Amino acid sequence: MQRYFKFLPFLVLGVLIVPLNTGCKKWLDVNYNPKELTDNNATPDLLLAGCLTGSISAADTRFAQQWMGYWCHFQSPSGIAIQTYNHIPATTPLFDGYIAPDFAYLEQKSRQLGATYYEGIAKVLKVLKWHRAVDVVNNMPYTEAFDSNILQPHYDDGKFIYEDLMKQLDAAAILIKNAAMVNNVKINVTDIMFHGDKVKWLKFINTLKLRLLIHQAGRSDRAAYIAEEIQKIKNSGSGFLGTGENASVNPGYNLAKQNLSFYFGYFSNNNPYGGGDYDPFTGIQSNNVAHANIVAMNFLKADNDPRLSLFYSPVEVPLPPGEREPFPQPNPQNFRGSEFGRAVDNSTYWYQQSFNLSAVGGSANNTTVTPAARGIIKGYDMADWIMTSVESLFLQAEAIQRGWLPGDAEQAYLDAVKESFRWLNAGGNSNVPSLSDDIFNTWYASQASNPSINWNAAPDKYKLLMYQKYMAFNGIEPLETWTDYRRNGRFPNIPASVDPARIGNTIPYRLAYDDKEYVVNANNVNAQGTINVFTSKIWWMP
Amino acid sequence: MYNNILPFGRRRLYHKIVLIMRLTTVILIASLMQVSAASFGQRITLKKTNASLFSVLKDIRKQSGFDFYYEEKTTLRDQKVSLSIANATLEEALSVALKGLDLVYEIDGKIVSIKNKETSSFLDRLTERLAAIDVRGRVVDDKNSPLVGATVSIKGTDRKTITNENGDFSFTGVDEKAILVISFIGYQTQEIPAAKANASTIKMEATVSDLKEVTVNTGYGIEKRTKELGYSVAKVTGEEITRANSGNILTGLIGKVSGVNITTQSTDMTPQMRILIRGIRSFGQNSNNQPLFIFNGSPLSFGADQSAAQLAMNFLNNIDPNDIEDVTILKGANGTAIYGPEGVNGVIILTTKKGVKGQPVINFRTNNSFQIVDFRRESRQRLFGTGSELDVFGNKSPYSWGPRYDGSLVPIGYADEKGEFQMVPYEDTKEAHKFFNIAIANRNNLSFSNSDATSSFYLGLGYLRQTGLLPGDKQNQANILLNVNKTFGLLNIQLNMNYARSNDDRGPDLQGEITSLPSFIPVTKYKDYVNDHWSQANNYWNGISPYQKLADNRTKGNTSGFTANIAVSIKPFPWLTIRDQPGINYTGYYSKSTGAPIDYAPYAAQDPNKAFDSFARVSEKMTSSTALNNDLLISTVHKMGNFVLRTNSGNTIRQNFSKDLSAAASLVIPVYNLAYTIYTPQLREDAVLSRTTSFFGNTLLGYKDRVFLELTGRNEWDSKQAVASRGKTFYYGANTSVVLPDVIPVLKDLKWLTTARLRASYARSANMNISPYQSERRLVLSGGYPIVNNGDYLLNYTLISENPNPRLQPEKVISQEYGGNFSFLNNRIIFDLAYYYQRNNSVILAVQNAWLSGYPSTDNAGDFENYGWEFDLKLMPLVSFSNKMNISVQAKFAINDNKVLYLTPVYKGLFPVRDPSGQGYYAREGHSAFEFNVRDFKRDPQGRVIVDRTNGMPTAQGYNEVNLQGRLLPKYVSSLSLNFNWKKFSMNIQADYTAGYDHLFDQYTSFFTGTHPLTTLNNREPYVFPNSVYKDDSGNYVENKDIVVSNAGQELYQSFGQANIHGLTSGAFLKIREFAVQYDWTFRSGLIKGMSTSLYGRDLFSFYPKSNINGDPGFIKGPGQRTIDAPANNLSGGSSEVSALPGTVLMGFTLTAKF
Repeated sequence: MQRYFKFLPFLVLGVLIVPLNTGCKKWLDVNYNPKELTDNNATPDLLLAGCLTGSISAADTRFAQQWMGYWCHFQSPSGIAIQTYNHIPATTPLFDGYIAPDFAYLEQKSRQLGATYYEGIAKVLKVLKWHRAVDVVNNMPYTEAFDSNILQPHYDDGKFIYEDLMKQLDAAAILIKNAAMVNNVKINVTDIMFHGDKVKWLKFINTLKLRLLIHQAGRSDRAAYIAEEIQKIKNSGSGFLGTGENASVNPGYNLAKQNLSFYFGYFSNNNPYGGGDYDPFTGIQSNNVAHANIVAMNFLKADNDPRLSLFYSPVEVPLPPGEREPFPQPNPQNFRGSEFGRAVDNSTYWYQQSFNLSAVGGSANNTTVTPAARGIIKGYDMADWIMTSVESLFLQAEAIQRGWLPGDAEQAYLDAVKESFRWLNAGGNSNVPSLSDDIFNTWYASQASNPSINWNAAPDKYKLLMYQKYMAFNGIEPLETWTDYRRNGRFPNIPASVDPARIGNTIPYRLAYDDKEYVVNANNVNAQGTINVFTSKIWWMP
Repeated sequence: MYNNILPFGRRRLYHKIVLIMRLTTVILIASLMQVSAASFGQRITLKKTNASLFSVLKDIRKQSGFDFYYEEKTTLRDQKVSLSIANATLEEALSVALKGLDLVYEIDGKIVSIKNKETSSFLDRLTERLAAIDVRGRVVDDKNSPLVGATVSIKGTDRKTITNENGDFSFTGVDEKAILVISFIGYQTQEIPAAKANASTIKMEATVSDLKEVTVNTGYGIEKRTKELGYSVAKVTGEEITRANSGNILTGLIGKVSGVNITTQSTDMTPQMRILIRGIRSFGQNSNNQPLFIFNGSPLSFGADQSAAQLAMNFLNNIDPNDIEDVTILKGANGTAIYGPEGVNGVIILTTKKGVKGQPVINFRTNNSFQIVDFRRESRQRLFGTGSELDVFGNKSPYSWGPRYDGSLVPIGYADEKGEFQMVPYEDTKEAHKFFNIAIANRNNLSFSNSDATSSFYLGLGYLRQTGLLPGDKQNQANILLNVNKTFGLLNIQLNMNYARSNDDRGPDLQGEITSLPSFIPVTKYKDYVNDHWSQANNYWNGISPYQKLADNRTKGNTSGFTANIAVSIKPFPWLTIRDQPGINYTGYYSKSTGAPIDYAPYAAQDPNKAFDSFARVSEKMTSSTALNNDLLISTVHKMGNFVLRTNSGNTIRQNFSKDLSAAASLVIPVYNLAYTIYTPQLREDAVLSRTTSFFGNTLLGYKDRVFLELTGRNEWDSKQAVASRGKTFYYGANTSVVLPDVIPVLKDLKWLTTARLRASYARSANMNISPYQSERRLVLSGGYPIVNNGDYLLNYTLISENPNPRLQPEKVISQEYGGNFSFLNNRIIFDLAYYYQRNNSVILAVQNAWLSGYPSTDNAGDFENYGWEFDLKLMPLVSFSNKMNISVQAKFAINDNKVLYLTPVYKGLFPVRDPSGQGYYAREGHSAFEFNVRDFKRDPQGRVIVDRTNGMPTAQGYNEVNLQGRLLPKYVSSLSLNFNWKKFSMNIQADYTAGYDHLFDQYTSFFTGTHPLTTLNNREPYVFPNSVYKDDSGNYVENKDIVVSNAGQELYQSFGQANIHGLTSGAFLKIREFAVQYDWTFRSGLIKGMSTSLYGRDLFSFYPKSNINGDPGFIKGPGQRTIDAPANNLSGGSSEVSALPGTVLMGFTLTAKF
């Protein structure tokens, strides 16, 4: 007997090893987590909504709202980077130059699965993300971005990126136009912008192209390229986003899941539901920033512009007569603002607090979207825009004025400003846009001799258009305003921060690269030369 | 000598063939180790008349379970014996069986060798026959308890016996002049003349020092003698751990083992601990450098990653230190190669008490301790009160930038509804100190134990009640531990179970808020926030009263920790043992946090903190982790000639599953139930499952019990790796140990040298720093989804930003260790030293990629080395005045250093990591990990501070100016303990000294709020910044003699806050860590057999370098709720949160009674 037992160890090991070798592999394949998907089961319809909400224009443009004279913290605590222009990398809290890999992944996944509609949209969104980043930091990684074999992507030239983005839009238009709905499941649900409306997508693509071309309009050496691209737009026959056609997203914002409109959540001062952010370092809440800056506010007051009460809310607690104020403000006194960079001592100026100053427009009135909701903030369930119809009409007006597109420049100008009134629902019933037109007409007539408003009174039609574009973009599209400001030679005249700690006397031309890049991608970032945020230009600047 | 092995009466050649076959096969499967011994305490009962000695020994073998070897020359078959023994020990049985024969026996481990009596002289035989006297006696330990199982032998003969349950022994017919030799493991061997010993009580003196024959558990239940080990191990008794300790096993281990660095990091009721054995082996963000814990043979592990390691650390709180028999620490990869990646950071083996043979014992112990905050080291400015220059609230600010104290009554905060202000004397108070309570812990333990020849039983019950330093914090815990062991013939079954349940109630950590208060605020006056006018929420001077915060925000939790394992071993043949030990670890945590609603009166809104009312809140959290494990071990032993070969081969299986569920909601009314939610509650479910399996083998070859060689191999399959990378790493190791005096005979002649051993080992293991799912691209559902959109459900997933790396390999760690153990003057002096060198040449770095890079964000991207020395010196006793009084000393000293050898070029030689609190550290090529990135003031090339030419103010360096200083891990850790014994009185003092590292204290807040002591420089009057320069028109630096700072208040000190170099402090300390005095009583009769009482203190005195004005460099956070996740254990400890306390002192007393 005993001799057999000597082989027991083998027997035992054998019994164990045989099943383990066969069952082992499956037994170990447990990369499973109920909350997560992996590459194997991800599909584009699960990704698109996030990419769309991640492309809205209000997400990190707070710095531009302040630099462009629209907004300002009601007490401007001294020393913070945004006011001193000292250390302003293109990272949060200023501008998040990081482009999530989701966009590239959506494109790649859609292509793999033949979901051409999704692929086309992914390309459009990629264009949006990259052009915004180029507008802020110029050269940046593009061709080598998100390549899993490349540790340190090299920086592509801003102009090269722009030209390639135009090609991406060409490709996107073809993909969307020819997309078969069977290959693009749930596109009407997951496309929270146009719900699968191909025509609108093609219009948006053209409008976006126009935006990119307009950006480089100040560069005379680009005329031939622009003409060529404009011809392509004309040939497409799809046109641009028209009146009332906003490229805006709404996944179904609701209170029940605390899923609120970004703009409302962050910037409404009449928001009991939360949703904003808070910087513990400076003690600044996002809605603190959403208060009036006297630059844009005084322009509105000077022009007696009816949109004053649509961009800004009246103060909750007015300044009592005779009370000290840090600086005098023009009438009407129920609209008051702050000066960007001026720290106000509360113990001296008691009436320079949140409720003594105008919050961002309309927010005092609306919590839910109704046809009567006026102003910028129309409710917690309002859509967040990627591009507004107002911008589309202003872009077209400029293109007409420049002779790129056919049409009457004056009429195009009037349509654009009128669209601003409609967008803000100046008339008080969004179902009847003519009510808003009436307000505009009345005001336009009353300002017949105002060269800042009236076409005929204005000596420089282009400056008139750009001034009114500046006025219309108040609180809505400050990044584009900053772009216009830079390509038009610092027009209109917006003062720089008055913070005594500021390190430059002008508004910067660009943001710096992230500090981290100088550690982890030093060769490539250093190849861009020394960056001076006040003098280093974006490629499209003349 | 022993050239015939095993079965009786077979032909020699045949045996040899079988033996070679067996050896070859065993080596082939690369198995090995030493015999796993189950319990061998079996008693022998035999009755034979004129039977062959051969058959008698065979019966003894069966009953005892020992292996028998026979010298070939022995003529067993021819010997006839008659005997009748009952319930005898092995030694007794053998003595009887061999009585009168020319045979002797030797017991070596679990092997009995029978051989011819070589020195048997005529005189010997004569002596035996001259049965002159009978000797009876009793052997007791130093506490007068009977020593069961002590060996009493008659010198120069083979006669020996073992003491019984009462410690009694007896011999008949002993030569009057004979000398009795009394020995027992762990005690000094005594020689006493037989005549003198008769009818007396022999007291044995403990010799903890005698490690020569001490056996240690080297994992998987394998016991080895220390002399067989080629690497260092340390063993600490449960008594040492609980001596000056109120309930945390790790706290009790501090300073007890060289090379083991344990830090208490929080002042919580169950403090956060960090334990590093021999420094760190990896410096990545996700590195786990924590050892593996083994509890009664089964891994106390929830996986190999960081969070699992933290879970295991928390689980230790479930084990009552009073139930611990001893703790064995295998310090490095060398001792733990058999554990593979699990043991690369060292293994800590916890063994609980077992039943003691003899009378049933009931033990009761009660312990009370009191902990206070040590404000002796606190430093803060006590001259200036409320106010601010910079922020928007001006004089209403809670910061300390106001005017100097003048003793007058000043208004604070905002007016009440009548427009009146609270008036407070404007003078320094120490009210903030009184805010903290004395933390009290009361622990009671009851244990029942007993054992007999085939079974043992130990039941431990414990109950702990605790209150914390923060008012309102409390906790209780109940423990139950059961160990039972039973032998059924060849089968032995052992069951180990431990269950603990604790309930705790914690408030928010307010330490930071309290120490940031201006010192004139009488904070303890605001206790009655319900009735007292100025304490009520509407009127409290700044926000709401801390007492109300504590009362309104509670987290009540309970934890259940359960671990159980069954070890079944069967020994079908003397040379074979098969042991299987399945086990389970479970920890479940449930907590409910509630926040009371606050409705402010409209007038209160003038305080911006009170602008918004808040809803009632509730959040619920449930987590459970279950770890299943099974260890199978097949052990064999072979003896041939001068060689003993032991092999072990086995398999491990591990499965870890954890699940978290949580929900949070704002409530309509303060009924703290999710059902009353206003919105859809925030819900979360997470689950992680991981599995590993491994095969391993190990062989230990011993030559003449003096030279040993051990080889180990292991292969591992881990689900955390991508399929392509799994199972491709083979880990192996070898170590050797040589007993010098046995090898070099001349050393034996040195009277002063007791023994000397040399050790060497090499191991190639790995650190499995791969997190579950790390190899795959993952997407996570966004908050707020799904939503209904356009009539259908809309989902939204986002990518988890880390780029996956399917090629990731575990970090290969190569370890070498060399050491020696020397004892002199009959073990009175023992010296042990060890040198180790560990190299990790594939550190996994979870890194921040370049902007928009798609490259894997985790990679094997660095090389690292870690090395050090350990010295242990024991003088036992140092001085001995008589039998009654002695003083002994133990000193331990460890040096540890490490170096980053290589980093992937992308880092430019500089790798940044971040701990969970957001503090950044750097690993720099050619330097030790980690260094602190500190911001200094801008300085000229000569190191003078550059100030502005007009306003005289300095500027802090920019954020991107990397300026590395200091080091995070201590280079020198040492301890000295002094033990004084006098009769029944004993006293222990342990002092710890740690140095060669730095700590970064959070200073930003105290500079910002104006509580930092430096803010009183020049009484906040403008001054010329010391050692400063300014830049003149030509760009030269000119010494500044007259430009005074334009502001010596908040504006200036903000730049101090930004220059965090002010918080970088030497971490060195000298602590009187433990002080304990104990008195024992032993009672000969009565219900109570013995009692002892002790009084102890911890951290009684702490000494820091003068430059440390900040407090204890160990603490990183304060008491109260844990707001951040488990820290990465090798990163934490470098910097403190605002809430860290300056230090604590603990005192307690213990009373033990034995029934």
